[in-house]
Amino acid sequence: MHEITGLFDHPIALDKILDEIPTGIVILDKNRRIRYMNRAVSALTGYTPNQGRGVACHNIIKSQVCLKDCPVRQMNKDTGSVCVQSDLINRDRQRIPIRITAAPLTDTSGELAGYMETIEDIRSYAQTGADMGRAFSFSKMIGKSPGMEKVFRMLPMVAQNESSVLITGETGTGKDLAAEAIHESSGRAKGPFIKINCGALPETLLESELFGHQKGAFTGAVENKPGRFRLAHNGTLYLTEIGDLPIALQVKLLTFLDDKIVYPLGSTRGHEVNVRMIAGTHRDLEQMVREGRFRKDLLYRLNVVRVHLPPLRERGEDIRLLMDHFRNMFTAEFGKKIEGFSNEALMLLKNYTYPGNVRELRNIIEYAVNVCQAARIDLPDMPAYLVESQEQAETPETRYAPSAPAAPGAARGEQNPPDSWAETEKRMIIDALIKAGGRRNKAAAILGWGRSTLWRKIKQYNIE
Amino acid sequence: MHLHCLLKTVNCELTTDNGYVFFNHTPTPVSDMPNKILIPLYGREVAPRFDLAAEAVFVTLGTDPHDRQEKLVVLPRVSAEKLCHMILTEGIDTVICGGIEEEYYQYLTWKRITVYDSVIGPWEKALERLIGGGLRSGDIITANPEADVE
Repeated sequence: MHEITGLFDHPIALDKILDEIPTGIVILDKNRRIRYMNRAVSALTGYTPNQGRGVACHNIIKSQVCLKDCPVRQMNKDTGSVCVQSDLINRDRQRIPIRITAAPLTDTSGELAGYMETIEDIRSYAQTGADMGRAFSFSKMIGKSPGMEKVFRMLPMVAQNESSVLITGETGTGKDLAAEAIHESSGRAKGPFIKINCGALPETLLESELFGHQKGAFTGAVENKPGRFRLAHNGTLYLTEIGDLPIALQVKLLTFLDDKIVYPLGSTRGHEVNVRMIAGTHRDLEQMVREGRFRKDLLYRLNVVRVHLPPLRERGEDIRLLMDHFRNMFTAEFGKKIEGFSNEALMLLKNYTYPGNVRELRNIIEYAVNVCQAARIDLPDMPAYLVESQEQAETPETRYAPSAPAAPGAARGEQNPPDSWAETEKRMIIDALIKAGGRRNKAAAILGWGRSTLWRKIKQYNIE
Repeated sequence: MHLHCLLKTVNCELTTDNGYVFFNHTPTPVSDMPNKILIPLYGREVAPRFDLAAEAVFVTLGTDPHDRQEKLVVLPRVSAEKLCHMILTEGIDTVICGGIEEEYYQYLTWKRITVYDSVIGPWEKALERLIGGGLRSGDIITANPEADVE
């Protein structure tokens, strides 16, 4: 029987407390032999606490990571917790995916006394991951256009490694969702996902927010603050609007990316943190580098893997897919029975340019579902600005000039007023035909369509 | 091949009695003692995982319990499939191992190989216990903690 003293008037039984916790807990001595394991570990491994006592940890847990790269082996009293995913084989000869979080245990004088490991059975998460793979989606992102299919193919691969990721795209294209999807699909999924908006805080506050500060570092620093980098230990740090990060902090971020050590404000002692970095921006960082507003070396460090999210006006059929998705979502949420859209509402929504991209479409549908009293969403249910913009656009101009090739990842929506999907699609067809030298087969391949779809669209837009 | 020769190869004899022909089959005497044993290793211990063992020891027992040959092998690749293949090609009849997946356990037992799994401890002590007839699946042999891998 193990006891906890000093918490209550009388000593209390540690075993009973730990046995009630559904997560597996193993307490190891300095030689990595098991001193104590709770009931959840017994259920997972098939060994009773008595059998496990005194046995080297890797013989009871039998996880892959124990034998290849034991997380406890390199720990000392100052090391932070380490979280790894692995699998174990139990006495019933089952292979079970697990997540191990290990941390050092120190005595009252701060000396290393042993280690503690928590072991979670993640079979249920693995199944949820399988459910995530439904058609035309990845995590919470939806789409079936060639541009989004490319993104969906890329994200699972990106999630599996530790490289820094730069997500670009106009406002409302889903950069935050993409960052979350990468985190959720990675080995760090159980770790924290910390999001910081670099444009939302003044420079002095941002430095303290990111890197933390030491008590007394400046007026008002009445206690130590760990900072977001340390809070994101074993997880993912997402810096949104990285283009708005002040130059002075860009240098500090650069240093962190190089050595992964955080120096809080006013402290000479660094803290090693294990963080995966994802940055997002709607700005053209290459242009900012040319203008001297963004450090070139920071861009190179962040731009290891670049994911560009296309604007909604370039996603064609996704507009209809997203309209139906949001309609279903909001009708279920608001308890309404709305079956679809009238033809007029459909035409209006399909031909709108969506400068606010998916976020704007979502807001339009939320408004329409709120307002709609009939079985179908009609023009009067649409926001007024949408109907007015349609009236203003009644004088269509046909532009046949091929668009200039844009720099990859450039946020194009900022330079030119956005066109409607019909106009963009027409321009895309003409561009593809020019590139293919008039050969329709090749043009269809460039667009990611079938030949018959291209033929139908050429007829529809009256392209000669 | 002549019928008598063929029957001899399968330990059968042809006899006749009142016009009836009998095949008398004498099964090969099978010793209860294992002959060839394989133990996947992790340092000096039985490897905690069959599928992650990078080394193994082959033990061939003679008629005298003290007369045994041991051969240590570094496996070219860490793989449960490769290890199973090696067990079959080397004519192993007994395996002492740590954690093994059901799929491989069933395969080996189907191939008439005796498997003592979930064994924890120094491999030499596990072997001694096997020779003494006292080894069971799930045995934890930690009499001498110094012997464990650090």
